[in-house]
Amino acid sequence: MPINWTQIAEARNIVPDDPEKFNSVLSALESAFRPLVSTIPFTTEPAIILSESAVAGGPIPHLDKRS
Amino acid sequence: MTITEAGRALRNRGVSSAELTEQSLAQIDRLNPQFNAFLTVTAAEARASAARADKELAASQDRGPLHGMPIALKDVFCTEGIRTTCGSLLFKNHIPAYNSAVTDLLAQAGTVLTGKTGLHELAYGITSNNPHFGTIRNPHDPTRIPGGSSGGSAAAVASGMVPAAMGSDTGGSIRIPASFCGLVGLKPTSGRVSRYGVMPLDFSLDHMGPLTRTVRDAALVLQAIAGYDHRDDTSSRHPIGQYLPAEEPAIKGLRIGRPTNFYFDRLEPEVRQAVDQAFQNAESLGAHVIPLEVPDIAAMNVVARIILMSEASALLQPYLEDRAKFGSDVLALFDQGRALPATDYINAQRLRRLMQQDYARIWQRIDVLFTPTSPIRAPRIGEATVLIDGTPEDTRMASTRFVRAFNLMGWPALSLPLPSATLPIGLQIVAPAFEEARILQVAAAMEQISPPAGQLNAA
Repeated sequence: MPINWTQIAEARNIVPDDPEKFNSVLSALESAFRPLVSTIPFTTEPAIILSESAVAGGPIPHLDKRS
Repeated sequence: MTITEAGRALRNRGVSSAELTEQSLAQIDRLNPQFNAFLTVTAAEARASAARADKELAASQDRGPLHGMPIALKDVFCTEGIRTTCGSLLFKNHIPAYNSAVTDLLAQAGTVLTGKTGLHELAYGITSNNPHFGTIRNPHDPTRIPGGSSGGSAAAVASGMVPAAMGSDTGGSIRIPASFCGLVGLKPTSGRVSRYGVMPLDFSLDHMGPLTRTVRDAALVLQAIAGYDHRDDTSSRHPIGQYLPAEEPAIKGLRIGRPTNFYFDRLEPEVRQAVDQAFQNAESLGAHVIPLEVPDIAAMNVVARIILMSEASALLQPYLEDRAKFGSDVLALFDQGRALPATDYINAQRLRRLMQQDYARIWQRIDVLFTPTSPIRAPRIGEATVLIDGTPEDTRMASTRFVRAFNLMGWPALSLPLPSATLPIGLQIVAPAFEEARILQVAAAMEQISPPAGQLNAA
């Protein structure tokens, strides 16, 4: 069953300027993405790095001099 | 004049940095009203930097090949005391209190900052048609886009305002404008150049790199900005290479991959012809062209788009209530990203890991991969759809089709201008992680055998 992206958006208080295009873009993206998800082995972890500074609880590099 | 040529003249005392800078500022004065490449021109600061550079050279204090060279920065690189807008109304009056790592490294290399270049709003698009700061135009044909998002940097270099400018690349934003404007554009490996102090679009796909007229100039800039930076969590400690290609770059025996799928399925005939010629040229230099099937690039593009849309929307979420401050195209992308479920984002990052492993197998068979940078040449301003082989395609999707996957992989990729009787065409050269030196060597050899068409009328 196709996802109604406009309804999801409304539930999140998002009001797209062009609901038709919004729905068609996300429907196309999701229909291409969904079959890929079923190929992921159960133990595959995401390609996200836990940085040294985060583990050590040190300062957040990007905030140390931010204006 | 290229950096290499200007550097030679500078050291022969045939020209001073002050003169190079005045030439650059005069060119900006003359051409910026037409191309809108610069958002901010820092003439006074540039003159002061040039005077300092000349004084140092006179005292035999030579900072290296970039000493005294006028350059420009895309307006995402923070510059202490100089407005940094990210091409957005949100940051229209943002004056950073600090420099990006790249800003500092280029200053330490002796460059002269002439100003900040325009871009697609928030670096989120490929036209550089900015609703707040105006349309940036392609110096090869002002009715056409320069590409984006680093469109101002490309227009500035292509029109001869500066010999080099910095760009950022999240889904092709250095390589697409390089291809459309007939320039060399290098996206280094993830972690090779610090992201510290660069206004982000995305946490895991952003890369910083130069746009120049020649391969050697790109190498010189990369040499100055590459390296580990503890302030960037993704920065790499991998040793820095020697990037400057040999005077007589050789590629004899090199194994060049030619994809048998995806990259040649749908593209303009002129692009196909130019890239075919590049393969023939490489063979004439003794390289081996190896046909090979690449993994599902369309799937990689889908995964990269989900990551980009999710991360960019998360980043800008606090600002999105003020919808009047956004152009309609970027607002649509942010809305789409906010609607995607978190599970899609996590699964996209899981797929990314699998795809990296899968695609990396090509490096067992080849040394570099050649593809077209873009299936199309620069579209006309406002052209939302392009016709390729009689089939309409969204301009943004077409332009990013061949480049986006290498942001997902994190591998270095360079766009090299190819000879073209019409509009510029780019060849994308890709190598394994941290093999920028290999890419630059190959690109230099290709550049020697087939230099792109002559200078622009505007330049």
